[in-house]
Amino acid sequence: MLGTLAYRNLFRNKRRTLITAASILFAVFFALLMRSLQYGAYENMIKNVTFYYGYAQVHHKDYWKESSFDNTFEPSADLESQLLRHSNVSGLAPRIEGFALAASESITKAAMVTGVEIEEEEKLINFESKIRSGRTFRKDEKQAILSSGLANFLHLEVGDTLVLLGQGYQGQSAAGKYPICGIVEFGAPQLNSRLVFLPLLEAQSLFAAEGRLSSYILDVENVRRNDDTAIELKNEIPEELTAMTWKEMVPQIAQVIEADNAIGMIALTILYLIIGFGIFGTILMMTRERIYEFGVLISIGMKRWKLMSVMLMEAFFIATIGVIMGIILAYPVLLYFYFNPIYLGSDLANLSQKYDVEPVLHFSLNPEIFLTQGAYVFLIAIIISFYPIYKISKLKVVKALRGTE
Amino acid sequence: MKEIIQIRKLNKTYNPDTVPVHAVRDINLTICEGEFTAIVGPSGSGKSTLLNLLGGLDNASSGEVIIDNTNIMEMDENDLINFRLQNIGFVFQAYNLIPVLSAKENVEFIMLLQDRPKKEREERVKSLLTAVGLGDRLDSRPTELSGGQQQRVAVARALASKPKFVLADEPTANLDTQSAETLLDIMERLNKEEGMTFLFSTHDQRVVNRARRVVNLVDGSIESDIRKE
Ligand SMILES: Nc1ncnc2c1ncn2[C@@H]1O[C@H](COP(=O)(O)OP(=O)(O)O)[C@@H](O)[C@H]1O
Ligand SMILES: [Mg+2]
Repeated sequence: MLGTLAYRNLFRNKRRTLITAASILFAVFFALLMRSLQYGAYENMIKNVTFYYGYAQVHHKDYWKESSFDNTFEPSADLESQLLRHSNVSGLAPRIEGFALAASESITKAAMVTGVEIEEEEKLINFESKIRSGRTFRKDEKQAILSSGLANFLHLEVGDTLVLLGQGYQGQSAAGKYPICGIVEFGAPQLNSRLVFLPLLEAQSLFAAEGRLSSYILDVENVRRNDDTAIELKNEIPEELTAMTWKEMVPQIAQVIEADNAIGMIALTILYLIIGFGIFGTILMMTRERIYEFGVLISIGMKRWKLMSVMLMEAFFIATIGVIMGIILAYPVLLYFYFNPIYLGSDLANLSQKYDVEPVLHFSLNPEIFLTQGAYVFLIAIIISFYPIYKISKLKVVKALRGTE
Repeated sequence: MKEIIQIRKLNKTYNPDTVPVHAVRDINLTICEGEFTAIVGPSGSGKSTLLNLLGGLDNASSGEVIIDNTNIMEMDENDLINFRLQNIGFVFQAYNLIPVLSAKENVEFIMLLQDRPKKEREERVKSLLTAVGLGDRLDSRPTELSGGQQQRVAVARALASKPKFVLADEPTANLDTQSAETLLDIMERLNKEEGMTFLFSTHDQRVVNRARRVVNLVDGSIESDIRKE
């Protein structure tokens, strides 16, 4: 009976019900849009960092401060099995990194040379998916893969020869000529402008660092446990080594995300407040119009809690409809933009290159966004409905009947 | 005759600390089963205040209202709501009904609050609405009924809970003469045929003439209490 009453009350003032449900719908819609855009940006920023650095790395404890060959290490089967034994680590990608001058016939540029085991990089750099022209190299080939920014700068193409000049382990000179087998393109502008990849063995020999590694990139299974995993590993592995998360290695990105997220939260709060006050206004009017009726119902013998539960059910109906409609409306929009990210015009693009972010607005479909925003707005609507409930609890029957409550 | 309401030394003062208004003064009154009583007096004489106290809707400043050997002034709010549901039928001046429920549902509503079985509810709703002359308007919403018809549904609802008595505060005040007459006819018949006790307030002389007992209120005190034969 109470349910029927609540349901019928929705149609009592259709316009008001519609306005309330629509307010909730808009709140959900815009909150989802905002959050999807923010999460999309964060996910992309993190992706642009972690595809190269991984979620976590193991390297010499001084390597991140001073990435010289003195701070490389000799891997051992013991170490590998120790790392792989951790429940959250499912794979390792060994790398050696060093700086060198990259040169074509007439141009030179500082580059970061990374020796990789191509099969182990599948879940990280994933060359196959980023290759713009040419192909990847095999383990035992003497070939190089260039990032497209560097290739463009040096005017090099697949089939051309790249010259690398630098200094290797213990001050030995490092020099080599490498045919270019492939060019890859990365979203992160900075990395895209300076990366050169060689097969691990080839890079080790270039830098006279045979058998040595700069780092193991960890393949982390559950990203949410990343921070804990790094701490746990730190305590287990030999003392001269350490484990670092991407947040420690590239703190700027983590900070940018945190700051932007805080601004997003403020914007969301403002959105919630505006919509919340709008809803409150209609609820206020509804309550005032029904005070007399509340008085009659309590007079004839309806318990207050029954009346309150009718109000709560009404709020529940409206909030559910509003939230679900908001999600239904937002989802296709977000889905569209997820697959068709917005490319910014060239003015903005230049600016974003300067700040090392991709000139693209990415959207996220992370279910967390739908859950949290749906839940927040729903909760706000329910909290607002506590106004009539509070009124009913305090109602003086006689005053309500006299119209002076 | 059985006494069902005993009022002893009842007083009600509004705003005792600021601008005291003595709306009910030292009232003693006994209502017996089957009576058809009008509380009469000009506006502001304390009729509503008295009926509210009798109905357990408001607290007295002092005195007792004893219904069925219970002083309702000593009951707490929750017990009082239940007491009203089981013992008192209410008819207010206007807007008695839940607008989103039909006539039938409005009458049934109070029996649902009482948890009465479905079969009993359905039979009673039919017979009561027929008794108030609305047997053919069971499914009409309050907005589809005239003011007089709405008051008749309210009377049917008041009786549906099988109360000990019905309190009606100026039930005809918003009605035209014809509708008021009809409503009184119905109340009178229910009083005679079913023995229902009615206590209603009015300041309309035509309505007063229909009552068999007239309690005259002036400035919150009983000036006269006349039983007609
Ligand atoms: N809540 C209140 N606060 C103060 N004075 C009130 C209140 N309710 C009624 N009164 C006063 O009490 C007196 C009796 O009012 P009421 O019982 O409504 O009379 P009636 O129903 O006969 O018109 C009037 O003077 C009225 O102004
Ligand atoms: Mg009155």
